[in-house]
Amino acid sequence: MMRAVLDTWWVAAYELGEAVRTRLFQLVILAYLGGIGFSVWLFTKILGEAENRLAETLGVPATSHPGAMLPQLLQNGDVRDLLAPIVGGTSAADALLDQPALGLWVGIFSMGLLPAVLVFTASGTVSAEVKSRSIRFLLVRTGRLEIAAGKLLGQLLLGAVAALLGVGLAWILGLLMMSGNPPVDLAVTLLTRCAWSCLFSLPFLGLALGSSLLIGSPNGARVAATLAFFGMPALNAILTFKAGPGFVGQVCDLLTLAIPTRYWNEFWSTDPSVLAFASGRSVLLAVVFFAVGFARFQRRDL
Amino acid sequence: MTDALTLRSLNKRFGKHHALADLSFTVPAGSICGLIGPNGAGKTTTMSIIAGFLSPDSGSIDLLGLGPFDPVKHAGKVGILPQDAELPTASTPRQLLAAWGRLQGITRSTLNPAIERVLGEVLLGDRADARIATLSHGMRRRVTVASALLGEPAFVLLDEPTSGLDPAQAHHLRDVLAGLRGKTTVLISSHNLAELESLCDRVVVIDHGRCVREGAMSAVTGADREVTITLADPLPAGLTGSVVLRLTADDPRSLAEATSAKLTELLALGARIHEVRTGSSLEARVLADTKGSKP
Repeated sequence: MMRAVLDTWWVAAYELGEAVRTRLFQLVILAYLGGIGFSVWLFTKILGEAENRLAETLGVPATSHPGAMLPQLLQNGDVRDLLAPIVGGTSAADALLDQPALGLWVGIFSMGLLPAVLVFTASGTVSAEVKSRSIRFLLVRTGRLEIAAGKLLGQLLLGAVAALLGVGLAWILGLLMMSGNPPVDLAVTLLTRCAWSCLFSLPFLGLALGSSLLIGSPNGARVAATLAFFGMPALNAILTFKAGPGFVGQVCDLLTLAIPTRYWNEFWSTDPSVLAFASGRSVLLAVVFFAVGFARFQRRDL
Repeated sequence: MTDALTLRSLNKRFGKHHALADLSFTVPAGSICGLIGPNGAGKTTTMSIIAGFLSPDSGSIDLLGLGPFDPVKHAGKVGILPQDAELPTASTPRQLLAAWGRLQGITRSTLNPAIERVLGEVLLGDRADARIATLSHGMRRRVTVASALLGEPAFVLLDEPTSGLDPAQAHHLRDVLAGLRGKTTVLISSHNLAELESLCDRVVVIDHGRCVREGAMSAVTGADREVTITLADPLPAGLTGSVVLRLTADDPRSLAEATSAKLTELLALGARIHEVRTGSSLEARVLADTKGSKP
């Protein structure tokens, strides 16, 4: 058992080490950081506009450095109105607004971007090695479960690295481009949102890696995972529409439980029990998607 | 001598193609065994099944007395050079071998010396820290050979080990492999029959997924019971250009005694000796065994 855990860790370290040296991964990280940087820029732009409008109303000089009038904007409900539809209602928004608004804003982007990054990087990882047969160098050294689980852990670590780099970038930009951001509070909010983004992304990672374990062609695996990722809202809508009494309705109802995008709002809750349940369900969904792919990978000729 | 590998009635189909058909053979421990056959004979499939990459449809395998390949039971005991497997290109040979060595269970204290040793054996010590992407095809091949030898496994499977190597490197690798004799069991699949003849002490010939001949190299080539004496011109009356001497099973003489007697007899007749060669070439035997074979 100890050997299996250790092997899983070594495969994960190998995956991480090999990936960070590849140009593709470096480009993906740059794209992710670009997205996070854009989100900070967009936030300061929107905030600056709102502050200038408020300044005009109050008859005070406009600000050149956004953030100085954020408390006033929070008081009159503008930021809450902006946040409410994203986090699942005004009460959730109210509960979150004692945290730095930039941290929440970046968290929204992170929860959208990180699953996409993981779907892209994880969906080709095993199938590409099967195609090039480089997986045989691992197969002769450790078991298939250790390889697959190590790849899952390695990709999760890659996601965590990307998310942490995003936190660092957003923190620096936030302090440089805005005023009134408490450095420690902003860092804590960004790190907390980063953790929830990682947990929210887990089922997407399981889905992408499951696809890579299931499908031999790297392109096929990528296409399947990408279609599943982008088709999820549509699938959710169809399943929800069909859900109801009767066998088909109940099956649809059951299948909706496996759609990770449904659980976005729960990761914005401030209730620890809701967050714990959402996290547990995320882990479970990731394991289920992974297990479906692994069941095939275990028996395949490689 | 115990057997390091025993295959019994292995069968493997790919769709309608019967890749292995009741394939059986054994490889004694400590031997260097050549696996020979025409294209499509089933050599790579056999190697892949032994290493656990493919599952046989039926039949049994016993590798090192531990049953079929199992990554837990055989951890660190089996090294393989897979055919056509591409190395990850972003890392360096040292980084790859370190990662794989750790997975093999090589301890931290012995890992670095082990890596240095195998890279030195394949003459890549000076490129240990170069990215794989910058290495030539032959160098990459040598990295994969190094990975197969890493940690001194008890059983090594090599699929076309000298493919892509220049003559000097191939010669050096043959010396390295010859040095494993008696310590490690080596199964080599290759089309280079002259190389196998000089290196292997045992040979298995397969064709259409069946074993058509197996045994000691000397027995397969006839080196232990057959001598061909080629005579130089002018030939004495009544003699042809070559004389073939074959010992029968009930002949009490050794091959050396019989050859000496035959040479004395020929010299007495006034013949001049051009060449004395034991057995036939492995190539001639294999061609005879697989005559008419279509890939």
